[in-house]
Amino acid sequence: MTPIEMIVGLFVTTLISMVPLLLASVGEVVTERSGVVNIGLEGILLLGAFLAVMVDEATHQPVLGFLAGAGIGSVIGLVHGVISTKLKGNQIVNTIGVNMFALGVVGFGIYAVWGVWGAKTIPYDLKLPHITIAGYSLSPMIFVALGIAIFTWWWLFRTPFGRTLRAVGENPDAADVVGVNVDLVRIIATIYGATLAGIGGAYLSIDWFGGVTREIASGRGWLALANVAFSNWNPLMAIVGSMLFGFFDALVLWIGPMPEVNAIIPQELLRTVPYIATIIVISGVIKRVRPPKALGIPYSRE
Amino acid sequence: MALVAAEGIVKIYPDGTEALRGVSLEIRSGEILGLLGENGAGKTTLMKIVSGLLSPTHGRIRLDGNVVHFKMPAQALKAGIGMVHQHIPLVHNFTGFENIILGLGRIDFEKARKKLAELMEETGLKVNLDVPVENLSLGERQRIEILKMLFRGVKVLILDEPTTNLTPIETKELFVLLKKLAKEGKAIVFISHKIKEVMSVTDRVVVLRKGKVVGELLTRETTPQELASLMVGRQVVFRYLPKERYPRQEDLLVVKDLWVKDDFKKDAVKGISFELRSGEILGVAGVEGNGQRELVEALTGLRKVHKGKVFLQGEEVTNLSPDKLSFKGLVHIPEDRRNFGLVMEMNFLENVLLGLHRYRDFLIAGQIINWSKVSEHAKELIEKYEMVVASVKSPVRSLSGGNQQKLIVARELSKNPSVIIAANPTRGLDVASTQFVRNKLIELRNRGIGVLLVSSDLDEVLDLSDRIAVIYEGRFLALKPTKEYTLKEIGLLMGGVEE
Amino acid sequence: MSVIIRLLKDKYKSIINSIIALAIGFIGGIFAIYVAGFDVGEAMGMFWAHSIGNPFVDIYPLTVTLTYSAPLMLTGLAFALCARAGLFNIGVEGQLYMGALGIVLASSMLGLPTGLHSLVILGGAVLFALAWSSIPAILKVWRGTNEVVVTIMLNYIALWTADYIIFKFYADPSDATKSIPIPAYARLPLLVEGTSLSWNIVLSIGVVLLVYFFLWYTKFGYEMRVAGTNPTAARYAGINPRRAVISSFLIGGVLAGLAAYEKIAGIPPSYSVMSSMANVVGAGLDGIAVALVGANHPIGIIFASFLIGMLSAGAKGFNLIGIPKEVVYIFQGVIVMSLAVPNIYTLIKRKIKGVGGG
Repeated sequence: MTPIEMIVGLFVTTLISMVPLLLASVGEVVTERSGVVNIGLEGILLLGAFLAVMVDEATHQPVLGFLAGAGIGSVIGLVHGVISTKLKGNQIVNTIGVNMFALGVVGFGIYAVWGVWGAKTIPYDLKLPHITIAGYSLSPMIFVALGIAIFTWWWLFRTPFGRTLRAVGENPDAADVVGVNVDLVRIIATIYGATLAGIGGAYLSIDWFGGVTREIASGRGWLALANVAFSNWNPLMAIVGSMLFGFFDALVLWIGPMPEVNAIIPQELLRTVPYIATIIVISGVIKRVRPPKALGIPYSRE
Repeated sequence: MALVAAEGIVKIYPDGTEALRGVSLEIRSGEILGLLGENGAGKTTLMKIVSGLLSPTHGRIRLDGNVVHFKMPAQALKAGIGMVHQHIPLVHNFTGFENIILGLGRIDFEKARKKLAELMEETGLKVNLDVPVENLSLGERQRIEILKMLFRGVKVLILDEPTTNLTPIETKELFVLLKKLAKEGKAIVFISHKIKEVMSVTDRVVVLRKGKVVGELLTRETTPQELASLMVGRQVVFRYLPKERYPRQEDLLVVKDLWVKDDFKKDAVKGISFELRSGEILGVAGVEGNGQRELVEALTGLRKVHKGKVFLQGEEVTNLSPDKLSFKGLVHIPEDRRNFGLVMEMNFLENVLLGLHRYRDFLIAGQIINWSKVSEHAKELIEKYEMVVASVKSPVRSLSGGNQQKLIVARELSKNPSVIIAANPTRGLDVASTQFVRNKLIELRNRGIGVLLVSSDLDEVLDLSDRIAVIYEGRFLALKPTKEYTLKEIGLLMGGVEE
Repeated sequence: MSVIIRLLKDKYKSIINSIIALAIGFIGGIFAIYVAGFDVGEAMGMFWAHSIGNPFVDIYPLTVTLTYSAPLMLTGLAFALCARAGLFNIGVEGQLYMGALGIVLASSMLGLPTGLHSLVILGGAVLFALAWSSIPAILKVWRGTNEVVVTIMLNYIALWTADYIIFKFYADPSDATKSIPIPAYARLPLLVEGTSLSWNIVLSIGVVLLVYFFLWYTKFGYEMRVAGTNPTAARYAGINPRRAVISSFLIGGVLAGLAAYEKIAGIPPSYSVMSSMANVVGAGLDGIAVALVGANHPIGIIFASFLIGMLSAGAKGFNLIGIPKEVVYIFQGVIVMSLAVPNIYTLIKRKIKGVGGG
């Protein structure tokens, strides 16, 4: 393989890996900007992947599979939103529960629905059809994800509702005083975030890997969380971040197995690099990041 | 011309505190009404009810003659009543402009800017709208908040202690603004404890004391002295122990040129010096927010001393931690018992141990807690201080405020201190407990202990202190024996008027 | 005994909250089983038979439950301790993996007298886990870094690193899916012959009671509790709240190390680490559920670990009739979500009253 082919191949793989991360990150940026923490992204990715396969198989329509992923994301988002606002629940504990629940549903469901243990694959023609650019087969979701990121940026920073949402996450008192329904805004933001993560999960199963396993999320939900902080809660920066993480992913998938590289760093250990990088980033060693002021704190008047 | 009328407002908080005991007054268009009173008089509570933040227990609010019932401040704002609080709720990383248009949905930016420019022109209010609010001074932020309300067409503008964080020039500019607004027909309410300011900017003054209206006067027909008397008039009579002269006079606590910063890095204590002698109660009188909290925290090891020194019985103790100060004989009865003095989630026994947990008497081999000894001690204290507790294992949350305070007092005094720093020690207590705590302090004073009593309850300071210092904006304006003061003089000093 | 009665009286609200959560979780799991088309009655029967059964006839199921419960007491306690200090230590999993690594490394050391070697192995488990738990502690105190994301990252790093090192260098020559086993003299003796229940359970209960004693009966434990509950009051009393932060993480690390030791030195037949850390994975996560159900109280945790242990043991019964044991996580997930709502008991009471009042 020529060096140019390798570079382009790496780039394409980066784009592919970027999609679920970008979707989940952008969604969580919105959620956290409103003041709610959702660490259940990993679980929602799993659930989205699972449901997408179920619906795709039943209807032979990949698009419906994506809708199913979005749907389950919205449901989880609604539950988490209500628990975090009206019920003043502990957001971290609740989403730990979501992750556990997702693990159970997917592990249990793969056997319960299809009678196979561990992994369920779908035939090639059930995957989302790709478009071909310059001889490379690319998923349209790459462009959809980028489009969503840009739209979200515009929504957050250029519309009145986006302003209201950000106000709710920084100083809910200020928003409450001018008549904003803080809880409602937060629930909407949480649903938005979780829905995007659900779509990301669907992408994993019926677009990228062509199947679902218990491990399909593989830590991407956590990397998305890290990406949110890395991007300083800005959807456009999240594109950069998810490309960076996607690049590491691509490195591991592509270059890791190569014997020349293996001699220096074993493939297994290469996987840890993005995680180590995350710790360094969020410890503010490189730069100081600034979360929304009211993040994680349920709101009550006065 | 009463725009807003409050009729018979009574407000009783869930813990039993009577904040307002039947207050009626009118707010009129085109007038600046001053609401004057000490801490706890009820001024802020009353206006919070008018502006929709609180609901009255009894009584009504009328707007333009119709009874209104605001369930949240946004409703009052829509009806034209806006309150500028001491802590201004703005989104810190939004610009002033973004804060002003927050919550108004889709609006025409150009039109909004024009309207704001007009407002600023009319009222003379100048402020930069396009800078993140966190980079503005507190005075500028206040102006944004006022603009925000004017932009929404408020007819009643209430300001709660607005000059607290303003420079003298900003204060002047604020007064000019308020007068202009009143001329345009707005109704202004100016809540304050500063007599001089009330005299200079208001048209009419209502004085509140302990939840009731004690006076309503036209500003031009009254004097600072009269207002001072109304503000601090005396009421309940307690029966106190006689004060005996303690024979040995030595300096227990010596404070030299103390400077302390507040949470916002501004100077809160500006060069205070004094000596506390054995066998005396030195009272610090003043309205809350003049540096008392920072002073107390600096002397008790909870806040860094920026400049100056503190000596305890000859030894320098500046910036020592609270437990070391305890060992050396300085104890602290905190004003916020729920957050500082007690751990509400724990029981009586565990709270008795707080602060005593390093004393050898309660430890086996220096590490293991001897709970039976703690229990003994707790039972002793319960008896000695006549506390009412179901059992030593009762959660401390279930105790009445009076008994909670008794617990703290009892615990601290059992350390056999030589100096006690008591901050608002009887706040929120019933009459019997109040008398008990005050007599306890006198008893200790008689035995030679030095007490620094920092209290916003002037009656308490006057009744108990041998000498009184009046604190205003971080400085002692005066420090002399109680009998050398007149009541009017103290009232004036508390309001910042030095003669 | 009187201690337990008093505890029941004081904490009845927490107990009822936990019971409600367990019930909701139970309903959720049963619903999933039903919807998937399995026979619920049969499933329940298998569950009971494999988690408790009839101990007087065959004690084996009970021992399986207890074998699961023992390490859970420790991991649950690790999470609870940090939770009491206001921290979310989700990193117990990673600390377990590192503890396992420590055990394998120590087991490979040659030439030590048996008694000393056993101690070194135990020490290895604790030391490695402790070191791993100090990372989030230091970052929190030095940089104010949020411990949630850090600990999760560290979990993954630990998993891959430990797995790599163990199976690249210390795999069992006769069976590549296992690591080198712990030498026989370093293993915990069995409590009940013919089962897999070793002295693990005794060790766990002992440690839990020790921690209980530490927290409620020593000066330092008292300071930790105060600092975790009300840092302001702690400062007032001269206690440094930061020490509480670091201490809870460090003690959590020690507990995780002990749990790893139990998992490997206390569970036959292999007494080694299985590939992909399979016999260690999950104990940290389950520990969170244990801590929540046990309301972060040592005594509660002992009971909660028994219940969660039952789940894992009973799931084996599910497996036999074709229900994947992952269904356990559906139960646990719903339980945890229910416990995220504070005072679910009070909430339900209020709703019922509201409906009744009209």
